[in-house]
Amino acid sequence: MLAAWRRLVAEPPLLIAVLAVFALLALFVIYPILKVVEVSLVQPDGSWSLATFQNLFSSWYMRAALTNTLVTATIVAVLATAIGFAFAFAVTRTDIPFKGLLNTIAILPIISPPFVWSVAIIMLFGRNGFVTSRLLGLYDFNIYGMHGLVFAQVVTFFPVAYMTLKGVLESLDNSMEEAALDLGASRWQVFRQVTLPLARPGLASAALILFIESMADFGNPLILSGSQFPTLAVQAYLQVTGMFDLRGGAALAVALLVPSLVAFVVQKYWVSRRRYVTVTGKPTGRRYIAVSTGAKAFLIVVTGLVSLLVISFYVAIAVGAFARLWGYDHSFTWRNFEYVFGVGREAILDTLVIAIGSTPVAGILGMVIAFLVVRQRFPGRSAMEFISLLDYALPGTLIGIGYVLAFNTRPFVLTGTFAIIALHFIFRYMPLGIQAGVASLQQIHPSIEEAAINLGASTAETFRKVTLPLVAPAFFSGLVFSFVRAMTAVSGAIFLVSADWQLMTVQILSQVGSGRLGAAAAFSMVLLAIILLATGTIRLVLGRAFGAAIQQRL
Amino acid sequence: MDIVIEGLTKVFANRADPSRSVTAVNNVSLSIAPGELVTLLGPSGCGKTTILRIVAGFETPTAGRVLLGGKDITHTPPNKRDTALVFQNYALFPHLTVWENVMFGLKLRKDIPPAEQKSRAEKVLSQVGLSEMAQRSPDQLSGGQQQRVALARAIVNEPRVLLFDEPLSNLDAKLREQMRLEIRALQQRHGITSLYVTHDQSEAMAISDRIVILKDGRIEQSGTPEEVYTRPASHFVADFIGRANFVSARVAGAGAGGYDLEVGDRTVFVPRTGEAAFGPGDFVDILLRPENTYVRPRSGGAPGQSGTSASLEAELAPVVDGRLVRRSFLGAVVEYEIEVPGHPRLLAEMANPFAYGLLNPGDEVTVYFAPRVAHLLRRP
Repeated sequence: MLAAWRRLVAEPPLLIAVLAVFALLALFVIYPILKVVEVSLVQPDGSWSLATFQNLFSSWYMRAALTNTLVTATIVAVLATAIGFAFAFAVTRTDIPFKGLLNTIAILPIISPPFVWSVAIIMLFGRNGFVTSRLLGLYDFNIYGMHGLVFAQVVTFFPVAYMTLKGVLESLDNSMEEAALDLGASRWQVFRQVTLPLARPGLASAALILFIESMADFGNPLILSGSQFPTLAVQAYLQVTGMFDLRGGAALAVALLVPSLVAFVVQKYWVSRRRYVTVTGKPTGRRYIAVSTGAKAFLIVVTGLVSLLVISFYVAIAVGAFARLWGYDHSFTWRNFEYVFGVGREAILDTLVIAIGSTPVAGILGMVIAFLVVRQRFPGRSAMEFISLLDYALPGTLIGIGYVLAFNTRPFVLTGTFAIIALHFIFRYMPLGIQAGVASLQQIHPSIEEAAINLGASTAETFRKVTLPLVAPAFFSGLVFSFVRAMTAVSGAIFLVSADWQLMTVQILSQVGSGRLGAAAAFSMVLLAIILLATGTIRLVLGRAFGAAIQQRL
Repeated sequence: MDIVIEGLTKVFANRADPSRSVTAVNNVSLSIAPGELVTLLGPSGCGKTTILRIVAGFETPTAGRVLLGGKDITHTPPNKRDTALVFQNYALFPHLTVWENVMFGLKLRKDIPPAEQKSRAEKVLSQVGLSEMAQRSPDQLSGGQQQRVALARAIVNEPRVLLFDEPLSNLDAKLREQMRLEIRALQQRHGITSLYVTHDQSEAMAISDRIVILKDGRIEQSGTPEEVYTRPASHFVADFIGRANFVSARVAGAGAGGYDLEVGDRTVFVPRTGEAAFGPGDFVDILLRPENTYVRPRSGGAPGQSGTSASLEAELAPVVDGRLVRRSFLGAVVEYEIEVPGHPRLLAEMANPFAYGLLNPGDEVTVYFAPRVAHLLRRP
């Protein structure tokens, strides 16, 4: 410890970098969170007590919001993990057809705005829904409530579980499954006794991440919960913007914070440490076909149905965007797009400016932190890693309210500015860059850098000619992800938008709120088009620059 | 015969580009007698692991069949076959203890009462010397111990056939030599018919009753370690098993006992070995193993300098002249490299170097050999 301090003092550039990062994290991550906690605890008379919480949760409605949020998050975590696992298992362990298509379908929702499915669900299953009223003739079907919300969140978030579990199953050496089969176990016994136990830490990890995502979700519940099914994130928003009760909003955000923080800590420090590593040797690389005909049929049905649903959602959005009036008049029109590019032009430009302005900063800061955390030894290193990931793990509602509370008084008056939204995005999506950077730096063995130094390169030359080119693909893929997230963010940003600085996602929500589904669909299409265009361009440009390696990462 | 492999062929089809389809195994036939340990030996990509995986049931052959105890098992799933595979990376279950790993296969069997399962597992664990480690998890064991657990897990089921997929390739050299003796001892003690895959020729020599050498999916030669070493069927086998010098010669005369060979301006007599028959005028290569390659100073070497017994000494015949270009002292042996004009360099290995004088690079030398131990191969 003492030696670490000494090293830090002996290397001024390192010391400055560490101090600067800590200062930024303290100001833009810790301070807003503490501010929310403080406001929820300090009474108007200046005393500290739990009175705000007592008042709030003395109402059955708010108690319902708390239990609804927790119950929904639990159900969604279980269901979406199961579906994600079915997709991951089908793709990595079977020979079912159309695996590439399955993979694409399971990844697509990740680059879509998180609540676009809710719009599609209303189009398909709402009061004038295509499926419910047209196909099934149900005129009194009510999609609003827990079932609708669970439906939307499962489709929105199962890809997250899929990505995690696909990685887990791919890294799980299938010679262990072959060994079990060889010892006489049936395929079902292999699955129950070997595959499933080995995937268990991954499953737990995915479920906890989904629990956090579901709790933090704002767009879907705003659209689909209805008044009969209150949830914390929505109530916090209404408390702040509808009733101008910042204290109540802060208390609800804190109620949201506690379970999320617990789930995050459990996931990061307990579950993810329990991953099984393959004991020795190189994986065979051969694909183990793990299923009987019956199981294969089951997987095809499950993944097929979910895929069909995802595709029909896209179709609904696309058709809705060009329809005169969804549910009544489906004749072709440009009207919705004219509206979007007319009224919504400001929002489109603002969103682009903010996303483009904040992502490079997030990427560079993320890479610096990744470098410090992986390659340097200094006091507070693990604290730095933990704090820098916080904003991504905690509900956006909490962060958004935190920014409102923290930056509306001197010396940091940022309310209503470009800076407040950009800063919010930088610190919220920087963890994506950190994760990409940590992963790639860990793969670059220090001896590669040592080799360069040994051959006569200086530290700076080594970084420029060896480390940087090796880390660059990860840097840019982190950049792409944070760009996508910045384009589709809503839960925290909705507190920070102003007349001067608008966001497309917030516009989509308000279109849905006022019943203009066609305009919402058109907005969503434009948003999707921008994201696909941007990621496609970056892929193309970087593919030229770095070869095939990066294509796989993006 | 316990295992019979008939006309086995495996093509890994590349549907997108049929020209890149790979024939990994090409019409291989092979039988293994009860209790025999047969090694499939060959460079990587020769198809040995594919054959093993077909026998285990993890691959389906494109053509041909596999019989186990007379029963066709070509399309029997791996879990219904009486085979046990020891994996290259051991494939131990990391979520189970050593004891649970060993019990895994037994527990799945309804025909063995639990008490007997337990006693069998205990017995096998003590045979591999891991009784004390039963409650550990695999990642707490050393590489050699993990290897023993994998072995115990396979043997405890008393399979009809044991299959080994390069089981020692992850161990360091010393441990490898020790483990191959242990594997051989266990295999013989239990009398289990075994098919063993390796690319390490010394491992194959040490462990096998019979070695099958594969090249490009075909059997190149099959025989005891002594046979394949002393009478290889091809240059490939001669080179792959041990080290080989080839001395070019022309058959001058063929008799019942052997051949008169012209080597440069010398004529040497080599007795007949193997089945191949040569006629006068045929071009052949004399296979000289380095230990049958003796080097003496050109100016009529003093007897004994080659380090041979008196009876062998009388047999030695000069074959070519050359110049010593390298001497490597390796402790137990000294290695010489000899440059012969118009010829690949020859390698000579001399045991007990300190009992005799050492030669120096630059020395003009004559190479001798014992014709009785030499082997002739048709020049390709």
